[in-house]
Formats: sequence, C-alpha cells, structure tokens
Amino acid sequence: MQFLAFLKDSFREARNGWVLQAMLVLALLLVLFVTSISYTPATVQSSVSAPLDVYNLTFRNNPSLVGANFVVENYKPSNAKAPWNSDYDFDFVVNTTSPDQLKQLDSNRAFPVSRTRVERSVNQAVGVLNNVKVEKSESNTPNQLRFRVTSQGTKAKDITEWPHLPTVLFAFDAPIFIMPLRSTVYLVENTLISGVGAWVILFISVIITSMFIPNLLQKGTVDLAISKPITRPTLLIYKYIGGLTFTLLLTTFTIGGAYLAIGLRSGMWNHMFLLSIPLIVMYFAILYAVSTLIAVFTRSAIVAILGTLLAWGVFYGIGVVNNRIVAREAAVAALKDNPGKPMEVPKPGDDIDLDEVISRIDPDAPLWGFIPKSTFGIVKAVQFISPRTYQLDERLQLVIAEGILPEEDKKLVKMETKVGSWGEILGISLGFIACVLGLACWRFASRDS
Amino acid sequence: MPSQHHAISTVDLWKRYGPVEALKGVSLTIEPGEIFGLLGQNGAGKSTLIKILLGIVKKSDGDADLLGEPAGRADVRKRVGYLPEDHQFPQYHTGYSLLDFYGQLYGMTRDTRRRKIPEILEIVGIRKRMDSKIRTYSKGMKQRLGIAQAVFHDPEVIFLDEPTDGVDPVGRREIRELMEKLKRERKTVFVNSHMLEEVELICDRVAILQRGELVRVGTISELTRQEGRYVIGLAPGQVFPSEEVAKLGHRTEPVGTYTEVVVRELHEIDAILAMLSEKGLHIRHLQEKKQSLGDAFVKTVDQANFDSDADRPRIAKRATARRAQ
Repeated sequence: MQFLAFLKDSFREARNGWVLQAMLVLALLLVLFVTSISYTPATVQSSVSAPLDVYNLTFRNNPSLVGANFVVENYKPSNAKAPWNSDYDFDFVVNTTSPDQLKQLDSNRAFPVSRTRVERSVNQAVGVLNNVKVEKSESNTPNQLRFRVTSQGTKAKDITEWPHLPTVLFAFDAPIFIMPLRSTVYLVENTLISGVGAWVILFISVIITSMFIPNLLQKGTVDLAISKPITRPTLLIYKYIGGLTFTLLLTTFTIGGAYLAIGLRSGMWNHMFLLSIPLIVMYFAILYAVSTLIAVFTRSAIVAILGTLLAWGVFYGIGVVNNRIVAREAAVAALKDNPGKPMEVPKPGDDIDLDEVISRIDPDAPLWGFIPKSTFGIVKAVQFISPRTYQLDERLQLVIAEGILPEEDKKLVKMETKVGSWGEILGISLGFIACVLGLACWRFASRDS
Repeated sequence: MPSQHHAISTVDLWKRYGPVEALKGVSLTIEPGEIFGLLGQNGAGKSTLIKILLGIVKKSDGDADLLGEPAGRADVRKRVGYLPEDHQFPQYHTGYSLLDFYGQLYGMTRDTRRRKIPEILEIVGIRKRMDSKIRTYSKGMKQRLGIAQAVFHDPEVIFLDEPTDGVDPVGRREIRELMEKLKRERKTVFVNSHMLEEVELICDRVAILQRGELVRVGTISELTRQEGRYVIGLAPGQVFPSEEVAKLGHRTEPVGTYTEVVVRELHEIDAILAMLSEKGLHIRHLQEKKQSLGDAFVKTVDQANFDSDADRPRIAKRATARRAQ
C-alpha cells in the first residue's frame, strides 16, 4: 500500500507543474504526426519518371534544350494489383526537337539516351526489378529515341519489400524517401520515435524528476516524511520508482501510440519496436539513479539536473570513444596477423572509416587526432564500470531493425552497430544503478534529517 | 534500564553537533496518558529531543525509548503522531489528499480514511477547504492541517512542536479542546510550546530544558508553588496586625485588601494563624501564594543561566588544568 501511495504521490507531483500534461501533449503531437504519414506503393512508372521529371524541368530553363523531354509510354504491368509480383513492359522515350539536341544530350553521360544508360537509370530508380532488359525500338519521329524496357518478376517477396511513397501530414509527398515499406517504417521508428522522440522524453524526464528528491528533502518536508512508519532507504527507493513510473508512463504513451499509428497506417506491426519502452526506461533508470545520488548529497534540483546531464554526456562519450578504441585495436590486430593484406577498396556510397586508414599508416596515432594512445587503457577501465548507455542506444537500433528490416538490411545494421551482449549491457547497468542507489540510501540513512 | 511501560523514556541522552552540545544527559520519563509540556528558550534542544525520539535525528549517546522500543524504529512510528515546527507540506496536495497519502503510509484502509479524514478536518475546522490545494491555505490553516495529520490515525503518542504557532485565539482554544479530548482518550501528548498559558491549562507535567539540560521537571502546581508565601484576608473592618507579625520575625506586605505573609518554615504559619485567632480576628481568606508558569519558567531559566555562568570559571579552570597535563 505504501508503494502505491508513493506512486500516486509522485504522479500528483509531476502533474502539479503542468509539465506532465505538456509532455503528454508533445507526445500526442508526435503520435499524430506519425499517424499523418501514409505509405502508398510506388508504381514502376512513377518511380522511373521521378528523376526524369527533374531533367524535364531543367530542359525548360535551358534555351538549347527547350522542347526536349523524357517520358514513359505504353506502360503495361502484368499484375497492377500486386506490383511486387508483376512483369513490366514499357517504352522509355527521349523526345528532342532537333538532331543537335539529341547530340547534346548524348554528350552528357548523366542523360539516359543510350541502351546501357537507360538500363542503369531504370535499375537505379527501381532496384527491385529482376531481369531488366532494354532494347532500342522504332521511333515515331526522326528526333526521337525509343527504348523498350522489360522486366521479369521482382526481388520483393511481398508488398513490404516493395518501394512506397510516404505522404506526410496527409498531403505532402516525400519522393526522396521512396524505399521499401519496411525501410520507411524502420526510418520512422528508429529515427523519429526512438531517436528524436526518446531523446526528448529522456531530457524532459530528467528535468522533471530531478525535482522529486530535493522537494522531499527540503526543510520542513523531510521531517514529516521520516516521521511516518517507513524506513529512509524504502522512502528513497519508492521515490526513485515513482520517477521511473513517470517516465514509463510517458514512454509507453509515445511508443505505444506510435506503434498503433504506424501499424494502422502501414499494416506493418513491428512488435520488437515495443521493446523500446523497457530500453528507454532502463536508460532513464541509469540517469535517474545519478540524479538521486546528487540530490541526496546536495538537496538541490538545479545541481541534480546539471550533474545528470553531465553524467549523461560522459557515459555516452565514454561509450563512443571505447567503441572506436575497440575498432582500432581490431584493425591493428588484423594488420599484424596479415601484414601484406591490402585494405578493402570501398564501394561507392560506403562510409570510409578514416581512423582505420590512419591506423594502417600509424597504429599509434591519436584517436581522431587528439586522444593519445596512452589514454586508451584509462578509457577502457572507465568503460568497464560505466553503465552502458551508448550500447543501450545501439541495442535499441538493433532491436527495431530485427523486427522490421529485410535480412540484407539487418546485416548492414548489425555490421554498423557493435554492441555487447544483453547480459553485459543489463548486468553492468543494473549493477551501476544498485551501487549508486545504495550509496544514496546509505547517505540518506546516516545523516540527520 | 527504561521500563517497557513508559510511553517515553530517555536516560542520559546526549546530542552533539560537532562542538555544540544540543542535549546534555537528558533523563526523562513520561507515562501513558500524560499530557507533558516541554518548555525552553529557542535553541534549548526541545525539537532535537523529539526528533531523536522519532529517529529523525541520531542520538550521540544514551538511551531513548518510545513505547517501550528503542527510538527511531519505523514500525513504532505507526503508533505515533508528529507535528513538526516549521513544517512544509507538499504544495501539490489538497488537505484531503495529503491525509489520504499519509493514511496509506500508516496502513489505514480506504474506508477508514474516507471516514476519518473528513471527521478530523471538521474537528480542526478546515473541512470546507479540504479539497483546496494546500498552497492556498493560510498559516493557521496549515497548522490545523498539521495537527490533523498528527492525530487522525489514532496514535498512542502525539508529539506537537509549537502546535499553536500562527493560530488565532479562537483556533488556540479549539486546539486546546482537541488536546483535552486526547487527554480524555488517554493519549500521551508531548507538547513543545512557548505559549505558557496554554501549557499551564493543559499539561499534567512540565519540564524545563535550558541549553540542553533538563533543569526542572514537575506538575504544574509543583512548578508554580511559592513555598512560604501566604495571602491572608480578614473579615471586613478588621486590621491585620502587621507589626506584631513582624516582631515574630516574618515579613508582611499588603496585597490589595489582603496581606501577604512570608514565613521561613511552613509550620510557622500555624503560629501566626493561632495569634490572629487569639486576637479575635476572623480569617476570611487564606491561600498559599502561587506564581504563573511564565514567572516560574523565567525564574528557573535565570537561575539556570546564573548557575551555568557561575560554573564557567570552574569549567575553564578544569579545562586549563587538563591542557596543562
């Protein structure tokens, strides 16, 4: 009963300053924004035409190319109702007003005016098509080039792997985000909700809950609280759990709302996305333990907020630096094992790991040019006892990817995120929370009110 | 060893804050059902004594028991009510919700809370405002709420630290009536107060704490009695023989139409009364003179300060001698 009483009291305290209500409104706006996003299967015609429309627009403003345009004609999908399960047959037409214009277009390798360039253009626009074949066909007029494009089947197993066009705020198409439905939903869940949304939830929660303990410990209030039949450590722990509950409520509202909105709008129910709730609350539990400790020692909400934000940055920074150190050591070890092996040539679009390149030239070079190698041991030691906030963040990304992305993309995310095991992340983080709260309880119990 | 039957018991209780000694060997026993007043100047250590008994402040030395258990135990606090001085209730509560919250901490059932909270708020006179936020309450209303939260769970021992602080005369009377009710219910009430008139009216026993030391403990009549001072009134028209009484070696002073006689030994009043009777004088008024509790308090404090100042050179001398060793 005491526990429930404190939960209710914490809720009342959070509700008192209207911050909780403001936060719920913010969360509601976020959920409404997600609800406003619709996902329409893109047709091959519209996908191929999208970049061509940009070319056509530029031609109108170029005096030497006025009248030239690219169009898709005779578009014939074999199964319009299931575009991911269809063969395609259409004409890719280049219209010009003169042979000179045709020559001018041909001189620029970006314009698809030859069989190979048309094939590349189609493949880039709709990468899921199988067996794309392009053949030059008879033109209707002398200044026209006509290519017949055919494809057989697609790489998409179902509609979720088929490119979709998202429309934001019920009205605005976002063609730059045309990608498989799974990837679009992943982008929304990972970046918009678990990225920006979670950051805002954590930030506001730190500020609101940092006032709970100092308010309890202020002169005149603490005596009343301690005079009740409850031990001091229990009192502090209940207050701590009260703060966690506040964040749990807010996170559940946001993530749960977004889960429903995305599911209803896209038909994709990523149950793993719901795991964001305990992970975000776990992240907050680490920060709130620090806040509680600072509050017990200083009794100041401002110091607790600033100290917690600082600790947040430090934990995250340690995680990032440690990750880079581990990657550096792995690269150096690999080079040592096989000194003659050349570095893999990056493909276009790949992220180049500059530190890996530098470490091949000088294995002892400072990380990012300013963190000397002599401090690597210290960083690793600090990381060993630090809560795994950075890894929780990475794990969150992995969990969401696990539930929604196609296998190929999942592998990419896994390669990009290097995180420890669940046991390590949860064990060390929970151990940290227990130590910090234990210290706070000891301090609270051993001092005069 | 303190008895289990005492409501409150302290033996040689000390509290030190660094070099400052807030309590110096306080030994005190309060029986169940007693209304006990603790008087003392600001900083005398009154609140510290209560806080030690409740476990809010740690003792430095000695023993402190509450309801037969070592002071500070959480389970014992269930049977205790406490109104702190300068209390600060969470401003986000209403009067009702605060008591509801505290009631849950005391383990009261929902039905009991629903029944008792309006009842007690009616008694302390703020029932009509029980659904208003505490931040809208006046100081007096907060004090009334403080008293309500100290007694609504039916505790065996109630500590009231300056209960009438900030309360108007009508409110003080209501609080006094509440304390009389508690007395009838055989509750043990421990009151710290500067309002000596209130204490005099309510308390069974009183202690005076000066600079952390218990300098006097007793019933109100014991503290206010002035031994050897009698006020005598004769029948109308008769004159008190002051000169003859003075010849017997006793001082006299007129007090209105009466005369105050000061004797060295209590039995000497008998000789004076016999002499008056022999002279055919009719005694219509005879009363052992008393002082107010306020006078007794001031006198005791002055005496304690005097003794303490007198001790200071000796203490300094002892300290110097210790340092020399």
